[in-house]
Amino acid sequence: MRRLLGILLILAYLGGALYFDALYAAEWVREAPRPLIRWLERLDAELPPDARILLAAPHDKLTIDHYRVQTWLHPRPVYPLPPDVKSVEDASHWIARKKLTWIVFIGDEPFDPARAYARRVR
Amino acid sequence: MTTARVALAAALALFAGLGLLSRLDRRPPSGIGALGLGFVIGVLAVALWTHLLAWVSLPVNLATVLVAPLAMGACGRWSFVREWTWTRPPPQILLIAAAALFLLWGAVSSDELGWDPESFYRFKAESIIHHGTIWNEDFTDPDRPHIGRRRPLLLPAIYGDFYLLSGSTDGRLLRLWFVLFQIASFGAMYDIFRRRLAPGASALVVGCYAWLPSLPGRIEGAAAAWADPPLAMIFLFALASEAPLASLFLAAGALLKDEGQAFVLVYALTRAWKPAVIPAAISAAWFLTARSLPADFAYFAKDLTSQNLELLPAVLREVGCEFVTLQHWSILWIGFAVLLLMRIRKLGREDARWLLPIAGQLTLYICVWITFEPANVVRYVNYQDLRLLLHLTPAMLYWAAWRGAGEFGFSDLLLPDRDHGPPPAETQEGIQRA
Repeated sequence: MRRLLGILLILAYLGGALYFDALYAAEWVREAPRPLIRWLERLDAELPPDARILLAAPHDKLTIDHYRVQTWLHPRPVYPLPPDVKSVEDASHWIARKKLTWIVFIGDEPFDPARAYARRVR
Repeated sequence: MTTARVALAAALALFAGLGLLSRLDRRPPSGIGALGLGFVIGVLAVALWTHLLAWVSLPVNLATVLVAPLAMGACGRWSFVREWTWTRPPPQILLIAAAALFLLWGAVSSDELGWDPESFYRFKAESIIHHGTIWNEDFTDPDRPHIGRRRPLLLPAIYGDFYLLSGSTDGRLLRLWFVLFQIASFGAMYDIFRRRLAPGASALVVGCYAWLPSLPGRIEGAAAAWADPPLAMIFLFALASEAPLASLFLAAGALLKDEGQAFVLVYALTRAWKPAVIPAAISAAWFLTARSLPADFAYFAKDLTSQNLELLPAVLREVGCEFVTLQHWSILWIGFAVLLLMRIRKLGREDARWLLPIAGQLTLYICVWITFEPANVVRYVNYQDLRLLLHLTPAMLYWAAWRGAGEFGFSDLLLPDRDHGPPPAETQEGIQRA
């Protein structure tokens, strides 16, 4: 009897595991290319390698997407807005101090390529 | 070209790992187990070397990284390969093979890594490769965004080794590398399980783990290049290995993730202190080094003194919910709980060897969780509990496999434990029958 119970437990485990594995497989098949990553790949190819970047986002409101910007644009140094500054317009002191040459803005999540931009510091 | 370099990287890792295995294990495994364990040890040992280079500001580049696998392999006692025995694998091995193919498919189906790998582990690896050291402004400038600035660097070192050896930073290839690590771990697991179970039963249990729903997850699974699936294997291998090899795994765990440092303490308290001495010294050295880097809100050791016991019920409730989340574990942890209840009056010294490290580690995780801000604790526990429970799952499965075989009337599948003296009482019947 216990032997049968053991076999049933293993079968129940495997049945459940295979069901959820199949759901993951369906997720892989449906997966679409990620717009932010495609946008960052294009930006990485276009930006000069010595660019120093101001990320137009407050330092205490950074999301995973902002950290992705830093990863994809490496080795270019990326700085968010300093603690007491809310917008790029108020960050001239910061831009001069850190010798920043480009401004990158990716907007909020979810990423919208129409809103994102990268421009040279004027 | 890249494919050839990936194959060469795998061969180098295997060469290094088998060389070390032949030196660090008095009775090294043979066949599939040796190949699997060799690859795992090779990847970890070469990454330890790279971590050391980056740590002490020696240049990290292809030439300096290549020194490690070549030297480790050259120091091997290769006559042990001649002693390998190849037995016909049981049919249940197909369960593992199918899961391996499934995970490989998952690896190449996307180039997306997990959240932490994409937001900072990959950044760290590229920084180390670019600057050749961690002592650069990516790590030292407090104005730069950098999560986990003080965390140990074995995971970025694994990425970095792979980037240098394969010549590519493609996310898809890195996913493939981590799945290869996981598949190699299945081979090593199979060998460990065969110490107590018949080959068919061992393959079945490892196959069950290989199909665990947590492993193919797109964001947190084996392919997502998180530290957690490798750390889960490291915990099992440390608990199942002799002292020198256990030290290597403990050191790798300590530099892979904060939880690995906690495990050194748990191992020393519940198993043996001698293998934990060197890993503890390495952890302490890293801890002191990391203090010279800018502050890091994500470093776990920061708030350990501020325990808030009022959060304990909420944390236990969340962890309890995770145990029964079928989407992550199927009924695995429910099965563990059932088995634990069945054996609660019969638990002995041999059970304690496996259950105490698991309980100790889980207790430490809970102790850390109750230091979080009350407003965020549920969110953090939900975010972490899957990956942290995964750490304990292979070791728990090992205990459950041979104890479960006894409890559910499969004593004929039990073997005497080659490493730890006479078999438990319930296996005597099985041995006689066999």
